[in-house]
Amino acid sequence: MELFKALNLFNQGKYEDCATICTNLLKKNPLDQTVWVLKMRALTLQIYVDDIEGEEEGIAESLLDNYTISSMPRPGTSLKNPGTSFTGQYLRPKTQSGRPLTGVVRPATQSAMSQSIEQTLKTPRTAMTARPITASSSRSVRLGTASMLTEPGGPFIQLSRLNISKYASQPCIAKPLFEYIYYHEHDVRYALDLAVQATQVCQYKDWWWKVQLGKCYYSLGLIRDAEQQFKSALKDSKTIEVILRLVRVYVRLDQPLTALETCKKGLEYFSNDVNILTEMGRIFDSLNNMSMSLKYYKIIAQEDASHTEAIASIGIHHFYNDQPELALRYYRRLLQMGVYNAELFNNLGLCCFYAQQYDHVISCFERAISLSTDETMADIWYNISHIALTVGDIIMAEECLKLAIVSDNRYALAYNNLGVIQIRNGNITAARTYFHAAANIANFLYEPHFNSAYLAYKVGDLQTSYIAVQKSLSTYPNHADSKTLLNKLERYFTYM
Amino acid sequence: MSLFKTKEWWRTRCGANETFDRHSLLAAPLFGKERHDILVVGSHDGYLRMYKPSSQWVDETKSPTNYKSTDLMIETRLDDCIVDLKAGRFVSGSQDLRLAVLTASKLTVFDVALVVESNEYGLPLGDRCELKIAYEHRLSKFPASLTVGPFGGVRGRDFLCVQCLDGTLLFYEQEVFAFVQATRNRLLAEPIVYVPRYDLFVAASSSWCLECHRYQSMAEWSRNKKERISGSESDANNANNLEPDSTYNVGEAVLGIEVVTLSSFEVGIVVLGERHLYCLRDNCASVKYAKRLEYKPLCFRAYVIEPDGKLMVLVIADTSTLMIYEGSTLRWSAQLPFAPVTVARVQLEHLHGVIVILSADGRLEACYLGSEPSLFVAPPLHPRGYDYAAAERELSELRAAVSSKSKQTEDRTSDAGTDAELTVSVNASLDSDRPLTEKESEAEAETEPRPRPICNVAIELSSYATLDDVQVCVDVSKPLLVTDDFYALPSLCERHVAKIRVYLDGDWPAFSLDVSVTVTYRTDAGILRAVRKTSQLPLKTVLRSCPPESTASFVTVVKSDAPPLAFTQLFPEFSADQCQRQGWNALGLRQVHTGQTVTVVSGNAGNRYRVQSNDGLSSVLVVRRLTDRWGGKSEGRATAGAPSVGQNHVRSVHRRIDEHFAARREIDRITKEIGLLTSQLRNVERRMLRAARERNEGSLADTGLPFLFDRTCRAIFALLEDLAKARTVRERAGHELRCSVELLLLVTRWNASDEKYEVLRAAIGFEPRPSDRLDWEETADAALTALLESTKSTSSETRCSWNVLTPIASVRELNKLKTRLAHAIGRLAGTRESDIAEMEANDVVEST
Repeated sequence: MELFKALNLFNQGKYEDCATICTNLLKKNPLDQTVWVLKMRALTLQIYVDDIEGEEEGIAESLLDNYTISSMPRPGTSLKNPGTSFTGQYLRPKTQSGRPLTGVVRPATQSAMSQSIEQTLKTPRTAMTARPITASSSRSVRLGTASMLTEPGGPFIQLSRLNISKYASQPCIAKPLFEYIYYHEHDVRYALDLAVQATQVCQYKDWWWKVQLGKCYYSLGLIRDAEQQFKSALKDSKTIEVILRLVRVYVRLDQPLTALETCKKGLEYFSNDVNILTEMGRIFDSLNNMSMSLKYYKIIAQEDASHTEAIASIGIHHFYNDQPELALRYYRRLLQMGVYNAELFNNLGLCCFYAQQYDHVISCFERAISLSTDETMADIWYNISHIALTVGDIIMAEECLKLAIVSDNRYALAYNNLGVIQIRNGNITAARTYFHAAANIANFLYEPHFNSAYLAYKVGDLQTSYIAVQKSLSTYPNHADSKTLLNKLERYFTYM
Repeated sequence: MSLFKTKEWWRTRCGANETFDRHSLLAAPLFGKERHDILVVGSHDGYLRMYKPSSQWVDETKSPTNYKSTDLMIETRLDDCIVDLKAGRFVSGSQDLRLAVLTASKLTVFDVALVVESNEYGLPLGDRCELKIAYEHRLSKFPASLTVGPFGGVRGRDFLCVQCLDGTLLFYEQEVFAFVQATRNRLLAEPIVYVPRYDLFVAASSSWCLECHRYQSMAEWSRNKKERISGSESDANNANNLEPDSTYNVGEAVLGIEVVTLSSFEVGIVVLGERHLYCLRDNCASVKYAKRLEYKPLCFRAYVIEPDGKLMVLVIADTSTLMIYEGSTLRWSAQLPFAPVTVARVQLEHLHGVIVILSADGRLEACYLGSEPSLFVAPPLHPRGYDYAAAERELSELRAAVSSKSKQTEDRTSDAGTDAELTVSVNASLDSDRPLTEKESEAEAETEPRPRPICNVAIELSSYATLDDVQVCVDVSKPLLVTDDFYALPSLCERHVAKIRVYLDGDWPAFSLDVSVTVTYRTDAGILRAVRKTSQLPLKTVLRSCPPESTASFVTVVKSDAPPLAFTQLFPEFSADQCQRQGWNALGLRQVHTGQTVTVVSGNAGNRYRVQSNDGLSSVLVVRRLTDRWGGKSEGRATAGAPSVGQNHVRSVHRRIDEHFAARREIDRITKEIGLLTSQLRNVERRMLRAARERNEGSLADTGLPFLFDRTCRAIFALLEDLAKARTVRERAGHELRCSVELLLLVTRWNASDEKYEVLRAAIGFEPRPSDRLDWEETADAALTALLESTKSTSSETRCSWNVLTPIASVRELNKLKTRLAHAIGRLAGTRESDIAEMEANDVVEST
């Protein structure tokens, strides 16, 4: 009866109560494998986190990564150098780490795929702290910290005393035990040991063990070994999870085209699977191929009409495609579904503004500010400044920009716009200071470079102008105004 | 996340404080198809309830009539726990549906009889039903679930299969117990389902596979087993387990399995795993489709919409959202009022295809989807409207306030701008394999076996705009020397890196490893600006690890509330050199150029370190680093790393003052003598000149003047040499004085408040600068007098008199200085005042 109760609680998801009953049962009969396994499962599920989505590339991985095949990839074949071959929305604003804005914040869009150590170290991973993410191993410790908690009466399973080879030969126990070690104890080394022995016991026939081996290798950073295991598992059995993991491996290896190929193969088996389509949408997005990304997000929205990421991504695409009315519809849909946060109201406000529904703009931004956290506050003020600027209220725009800087003093675009306002007010020196500050904070933005070049050109400081316009063109090679300015300067220099 | 909410059709609550699970709800047309589905609910507390929802739509109120008390057909307590409920043709010779109830100790089959009652006016009172036991089986083990079906392909009869908690299957052919089947690979009861078309049991195993067993083969195998047991023990290997007919590796725990008939020749097996939803083909070996779920599913129900055989699956997520999938496509999602444990799709009297959900605490609800969205309405921001006029007024007031202050803010922003204009970064690294210059190598070959380390310092200047007239000054304190302490750039564009080297010279003790770089530049507007950047050289430039010494004369104790750190954390640079003894609590550090050893011992008992050395001045550097690092690593600065002011520190300063003063007096003496001698020389010259003018050359030699001239000159030269020596002595004494003052300051710093410390530092912590009459002593004396007067607690008037700098001539005045110093320290450090004051009094007596 006790066991029945425990099993029921387990099925209902009340893992803590289940574990307590199991502990009592184990006190009576410590050798009962059934109860042991049930408790193990309960403890695992208590802190289980879907680790496919939860990864974030840390500073160690992005810096010391030696798996990348070519250091100077051709444009369009790498996530680090997405290239500009796809025309369209290159003018999308960029996040703090210098990546174009995406519809939702999703794994690995926070970290910058930076080329140099300096940039990696400089880039803040969150808005408020400048601390970069450390290695991913420590990240996974933070996701579920059960291994850090001391349990009364010692840990449930002493890993160091565990007879791994004995349990590896019992498939009923080995699999829950592996999940316990991997997810609850976060001890990849023991997990790997168990997986190796178990896969030998079943003569390399069980694809599940191959996937687990791959997971272990991946979290240890042995990407190529992980790829092998996942591929071998896929040969045995096609599962969505393995396809997703393999795609992650290729993204990590910076081979987006192979990743897309894998996705397409996966779609042959699981037609219209949302997860695979999402991966494809994301990869195209980070390759700056917005139209393909949009196509996949649309398929997702048809398949799963309540998919937040798809709706938000389509919305943002329409917004930057000068169709604010369409974007507004998508964002309203999100609101109706119950998404209620500062970002959404901010976007709604902007859409309303560009769709000329001015009556909603103020209330949207009021809501956004009342819901905002420290991280989003600066963005909202920046957007309000934009509206003030468009309305013609320069004083308010300046105030808003200053508030944005108060919330986040590394907000490069706000500095840039303040500089523009200062030019308009006639304070050349202050303007130049702002442009320089903006350029120093975010060297991936071309605006401050171009602005300071233009300012220097007007003032007559041709040398500074020349240097700055070159910087502008190196971040955005096709910027027409920069090109014109450069031509003018070159003509001047040849006359001289 | 869903746009819709389900609409309530009928709702009730089953019992109070009873618990239910996924097997507790059964919907079956127990009284024939025309009477529609009856809801049977069995609780873990043994209560059986049957409901016949009679809710119907009322057009006037635009709502269903909901629950009526006549809907409850029976409520009875059967046993202490109802585990599972099933309906089927369990009595031979009858095609009527019977109810099988699995309780904790037995399996009972009930005849269900309908009693239609009406009152005297002929109005229906609702249906009632009666339960009669048809037959029952006692169970030896605790059961977990019940599976029914026409096992073995029998016609018109249903058999029963009870799964026990440990996974054993008990088969009953209606009234008769058939056989028991132990299962392999199963620790606990897992979901199991019977596929009538293929006479197949599909069950999950504990190793997360699906296993298919044919009923026929199980029955045969158990018959054989009986024979084997009765016969002999032959074929013992085969005896234990029955191999499954086929398996499919799901790879995750299975929450539920259901069988649906897709068409007349196709059966689908729908499996809900923890993270996936699978639909397997009937051979149970290949996947028809799979769907990865982005949420944790609670329960599910698969059904087929009849005419075109569409397979629909209801899945309920743990956010109590109902998802309806057709294949892998999401068709509908709606929010449920609570999180259920089980769900069923039921044909009711007035509404078909109702979704019935049951929660763990007994809430039972029949609901339909409805197409009217329940839109999310954001709560209003300003409940009473917003006063825009008042806001406008406030804004204008605030703007006025801002504009009145704007001057200052502008200044601040331009200050921020200067930071951005020029970025200076200083990077110091120890050069291990430097090429030795000739001179150095010679010198080192003679004096010491190991080369003195040289530090490479890279100064990087980067600016966005071009800057003109950039001048860079590098300053280090003695005995460190810098190769290039000044350089200028006519114009700086983008980035400039200068490499300089810092090396040790002489054998003076070092007290600071700071490198301060001062850059001045001119902007386009012609404004001169200066940026200073201070960096620290690595400790290894000056110190080497060596065996610790046990005894030493000069001791500084550093103690704190913070827990002590290991030396590997405090001095990581030396931990590699040191042989890693377990639990070493002493670290020896030798100054490279002086050869003095400083030993750091960590206290066993308390949170303290002892820094000891034979020469007090050598320990300055170590104490400074120790306090910095300890304080930095532990949390509170105020509590961490506070060395105590000892008598020895003050005494050390006094000794240096004496030495320095003695050196000065020596110089004074020599200067005076030189003065005397030069006047003598001048007199001799005058005499000689006069003699020469009188032209009696012969007599010049007789006067002895040339001899006197010679001697005087020689004496002057000798004195000049002495003077040079005395000057170096004074310089050294001055440096040592600086060192000891630095140590004193360092020790005081942690005991006094920041403000007081700064005052003291300003008073005494400066480089002795030799000039004619005034030196460190005079300046310090004046500063200390002022300091003492300003901090005097008794005098209420804040008198700030400018003390006249009078040269200190006598030892007595020097002693006054010492006393003042001691007082100042005592006053700043606060607690230890009396201590030091006493000691000082003694000291003064001694020295006078």
